[in-house]
Amino acid sequence: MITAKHLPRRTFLRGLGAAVALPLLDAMQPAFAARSAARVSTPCRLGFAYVPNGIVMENWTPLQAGPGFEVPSILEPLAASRQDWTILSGLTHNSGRALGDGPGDHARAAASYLTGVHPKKTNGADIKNGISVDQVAAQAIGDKTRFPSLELGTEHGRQTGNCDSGYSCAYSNSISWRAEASPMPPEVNPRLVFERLFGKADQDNDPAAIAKRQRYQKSILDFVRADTQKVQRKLGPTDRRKLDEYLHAVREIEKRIEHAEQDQKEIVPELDRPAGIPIDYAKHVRLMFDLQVVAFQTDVTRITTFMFGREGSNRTYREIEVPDAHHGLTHHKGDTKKIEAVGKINRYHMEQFAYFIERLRSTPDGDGSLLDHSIIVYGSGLSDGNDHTHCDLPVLMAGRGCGTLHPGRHVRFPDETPMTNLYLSILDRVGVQPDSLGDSNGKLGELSEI
Amino acid sequence: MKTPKLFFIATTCLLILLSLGITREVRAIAGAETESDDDFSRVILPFLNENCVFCHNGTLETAGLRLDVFRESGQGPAGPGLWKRVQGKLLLGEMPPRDRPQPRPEAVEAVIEWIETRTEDLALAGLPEPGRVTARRLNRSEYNNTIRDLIGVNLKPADDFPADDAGYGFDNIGDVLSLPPILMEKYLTAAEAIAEAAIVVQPSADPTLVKYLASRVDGEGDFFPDGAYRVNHLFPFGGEYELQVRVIDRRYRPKKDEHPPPMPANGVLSVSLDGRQLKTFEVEPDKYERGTFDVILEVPEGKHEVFAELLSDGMEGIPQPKDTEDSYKGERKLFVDDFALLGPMKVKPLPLTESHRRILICGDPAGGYQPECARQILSRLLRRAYRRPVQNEEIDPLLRFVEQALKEGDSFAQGIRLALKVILVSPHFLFRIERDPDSGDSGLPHQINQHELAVRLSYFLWSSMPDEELFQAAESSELSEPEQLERQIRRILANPKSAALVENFGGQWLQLRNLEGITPDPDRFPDFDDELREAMRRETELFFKTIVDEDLSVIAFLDAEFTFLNRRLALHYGIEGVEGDWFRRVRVDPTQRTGVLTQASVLTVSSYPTRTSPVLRGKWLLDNILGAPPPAPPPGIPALNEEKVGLEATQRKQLEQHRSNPACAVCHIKMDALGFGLENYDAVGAWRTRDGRFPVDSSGTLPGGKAFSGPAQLRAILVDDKREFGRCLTEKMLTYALGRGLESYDTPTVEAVVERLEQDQYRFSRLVLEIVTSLPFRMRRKETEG
Repeated sequence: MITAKHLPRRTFLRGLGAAVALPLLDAMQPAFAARSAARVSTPCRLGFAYVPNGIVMENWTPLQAGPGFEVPSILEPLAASRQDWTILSGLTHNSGRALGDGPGDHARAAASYLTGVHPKKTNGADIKNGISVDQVAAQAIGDKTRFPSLELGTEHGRQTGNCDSGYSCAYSNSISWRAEASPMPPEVNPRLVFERLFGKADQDNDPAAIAKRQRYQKSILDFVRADTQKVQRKLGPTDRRKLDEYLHAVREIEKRIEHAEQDQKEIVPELDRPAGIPIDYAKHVRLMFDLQVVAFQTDVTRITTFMFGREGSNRTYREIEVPDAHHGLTHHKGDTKKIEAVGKINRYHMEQFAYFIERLRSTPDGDGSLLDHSIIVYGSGLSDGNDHTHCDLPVLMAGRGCGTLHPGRHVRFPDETPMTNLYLSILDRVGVQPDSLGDSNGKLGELSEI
Repeated sequence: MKTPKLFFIATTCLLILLSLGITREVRAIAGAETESDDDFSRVILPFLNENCVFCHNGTLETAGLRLDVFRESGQGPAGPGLWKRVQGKLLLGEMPPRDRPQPRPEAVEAVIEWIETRTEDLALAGLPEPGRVTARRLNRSEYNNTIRDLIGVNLKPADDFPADDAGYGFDNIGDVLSLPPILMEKYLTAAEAIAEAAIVVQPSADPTLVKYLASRVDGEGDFFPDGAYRVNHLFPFGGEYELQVRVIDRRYRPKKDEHPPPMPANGVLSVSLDGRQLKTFEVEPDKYERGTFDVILEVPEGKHEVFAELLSDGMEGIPQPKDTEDSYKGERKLFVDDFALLGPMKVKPLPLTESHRRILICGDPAGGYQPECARQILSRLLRRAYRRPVQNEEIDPLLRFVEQALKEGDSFAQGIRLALKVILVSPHFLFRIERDPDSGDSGLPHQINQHELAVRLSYFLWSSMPDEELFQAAESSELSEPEQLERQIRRILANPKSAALVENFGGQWLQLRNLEGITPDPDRFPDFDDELREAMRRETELFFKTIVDEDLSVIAFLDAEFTFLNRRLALHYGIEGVEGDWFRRVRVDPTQRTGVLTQASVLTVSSYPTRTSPVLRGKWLLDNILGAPPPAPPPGIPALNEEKVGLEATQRKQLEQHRSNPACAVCHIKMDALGFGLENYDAVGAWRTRDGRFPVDSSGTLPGGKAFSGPAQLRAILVDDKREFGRCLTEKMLTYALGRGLESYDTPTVEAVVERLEQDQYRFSRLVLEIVTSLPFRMRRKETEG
């Protein structure tokens, strides 16, 4: 028998950059708008970018509050878009402090950064942190998109030895935490991120084959879920918790399949399929930002976290003539040459972030740009890396939050204002209203004022 | 009752910090008043208060140790091992540090005596405590190795998995290994890839017709001005395909009022596949306007280039007809117009792979469903994948997957593929789950069963599943017989798969894995490149492997007078006469190179990118060789002025100034001294006698008064106390073997292993044997609810 059909040509084209821009997926809008009290007509995206080892604060914090401040040197790469971001000073992560636990500020800085929770000091036996702000959002609104959230980074975290003074490496490798003992490790390979979001190049795109694969996938997940629950009954509490992680992961994927079934639209990103991890650090970081832009643009997720490096990172930056290890340098003890080198790294990171902001700004979205419909927080869990300071943290918030933010200022909050108050305010703007987050004690009032 | 965890056994360095001006009182938390409590509060409490708790308290927790909280007179948290260690330090006079106020000798003696009596009591009273190992998810290298051994494909899918977080220095700790959703996604993808690679599914032979139209504006392929046409076609299966080339011929178009024009000659059409000409055809001029030419292609699966061209259009010497119709004026008259590909007509059966034969142990590859055969295949596969005997009720649901596939129209092999996918994402495969007995007293420790022991053993030494022989041994309960167990251990160690122990245990214990992320400053170390980096790692791995293979004393890690070099590394070490890229065993000058401490790998991972650091190296030694990790520095300590190192003053001089601050001195005295002993090696491990403008001074004095000059003498001191190193290595390896951090109740185990190790001349295999036969390796305690 002869069956005639044309080969699905798009199979070859997919992901090769031959696609056209996708309009906002209109189908997504009503549900979201209803939830956020009709305030937004286009979904708001959340992004958190983390830099390790603190910042040279004297080159970060503007001298004047309000609009029209003089842009300090580290922020210069962002000067052109100064109307799109705000510097928030005075915010503190009290949970990052020792509080009787002794050394380990780097581990605590990363672990508490998005959770506002004081992580339990342990090398591993009983890891305990809190749920991070991105995951609070993901658990509330993540079901609107194919991926509730994306966790990205640049460093594998495969180093050995102690990560920080008796803290498990889990604390310094991940800022995103799904549950108390469940870090969400960042993906560092751009190719794998792309494949995860948009599929593999050689995948069979025949709808019948896809449908069959999904049927199989579903019965596999069905079965292992039931099987796991059966096994769990015979296990002690700790082992049971381990398998709970497994069950949660299974459910997440089941949800994703359901999502894909309802939304059959083929999503084609405006980005060439990455080949792997670029050797050049700046290219690597920019590619990770590109992926976040296309992920927002195609609405496969609305929530991302990105780590420029693990906390305590010892990356060297020879490309900007800093051959010394980053973490080592930040313990400069007042040495001006070292401070200068750290400043260079800080600025270099900011140059990459400026690229991200520019991409968001130049990408149309709904009635404006992606940046108009985003809240992007850039910062570190330490202010002064030399002294391991957890107060007056470097915080930059970019984007207009779907019209809920009025950027272009330097806002100074009273000392010791919990950083988590900022997170509560941000969550509120995407329609998520938890009672509290970590050590929060209220919301920030001044973000919407002009 | 579980005792609260106050001490990590790994942190046994009883460095006693100076008073920082804070006096802390030992709190004797209310407990039953007993006779020995009186002794404790009369003798021990005051002694600790005066001499120890300034540093070993809840705030500083120097060396991770607190001596300021006890439930009752030294019972419970401390355990006999810890007190023994305190006793040891006191006996040697290492604590309190020599340059600090010393307690009266009688007081020291009283404490030593009290410890003697107490520990005997405690040892007698103590119940065995094996601890509990949390269900361990396979880590990345375990996953790769297990797939290799289970399926027989070397895909290494876990290379794409997220990094496994480490705890206690290793990445195989059950409590730390988490399973985020992204990893589950990767498991599913990997299962698919593995199942596809493992089981060959013969292609179905339904032919499909595919057309490529050259004349379409947006057509596929390349259409050339001379009438040729080329496409790259993806042939879904290997086999025979029919290619039909259609040629348009407009050369001969007589009008009725015209004299017949001169007849063109035959054109010549050539068809080639991947640049190889398959066939040529004569294209006669007056036969047709559209002619088709058929070729049979025999191709392997994949993309191939199909090309058809006209070698001649037969128009030579023929004047262009005075054509008044303008439609074809000046245009090509003979060209290839389209390709039609029909196939596969005959599918070439794919060759069966080794893994396919190993899994599909019965059944006709082309045949239908045979339930009995499926059961046979799956029960065998399942037992190996779950690493234990399996019940029929575990096999039945998998059979239903095979049935589901068949109902969907898939073949038997595809059905087995599907079942294999299920197995590979099952928690029984992904986790090493140990089951507690259903009944019985939940609080009491119990022996793990034979299969669980086999699994612990193979993952310890191979980072992979048991092989058939070990399986059989477990099945026939041989592992409970000491000689049989020992025979298995020796067999496992002798197998090449034990390279995993070197790679994973060695790579993490000695931190070789960190080499990958280190970038020495190219201005200062222009010779450093990836080749040297790789050579460094290789040297230490081969060295470690030799200790395993030849069953040398573990002390060889410190004092072996041989190493492994290739030309590149030998040049780096300044050793002549080693040529070629291959590594060979070389005797080295023991004043310069002995053991891992003088190998470039270790010396590089314990340096800054720009310079050496006696502090980092000293800390590395305390952490990994002496088992006495120092605490992190308190914040706000003035720094070493690095710019001046080697220029205005020696690093030593600067560190000495640094140490004049008493807050630093307590730890740095030992750390720096150890590090200085290795100053003859630069930051990438090359030998040197000068550092900048200054000659290298590699002398030092350790707390306790032992002085040395140069690395050879430092080594002699380290080798002098073999037990200290033996204990450190035991602690590291036990942690790795168990997949959990050590607790105070493990002290007797560690001490017993060290004891036996010493009795057997520190032979490597003895260490492994003692760990495998130790209480925590062979037993577990059922966890109680709540």
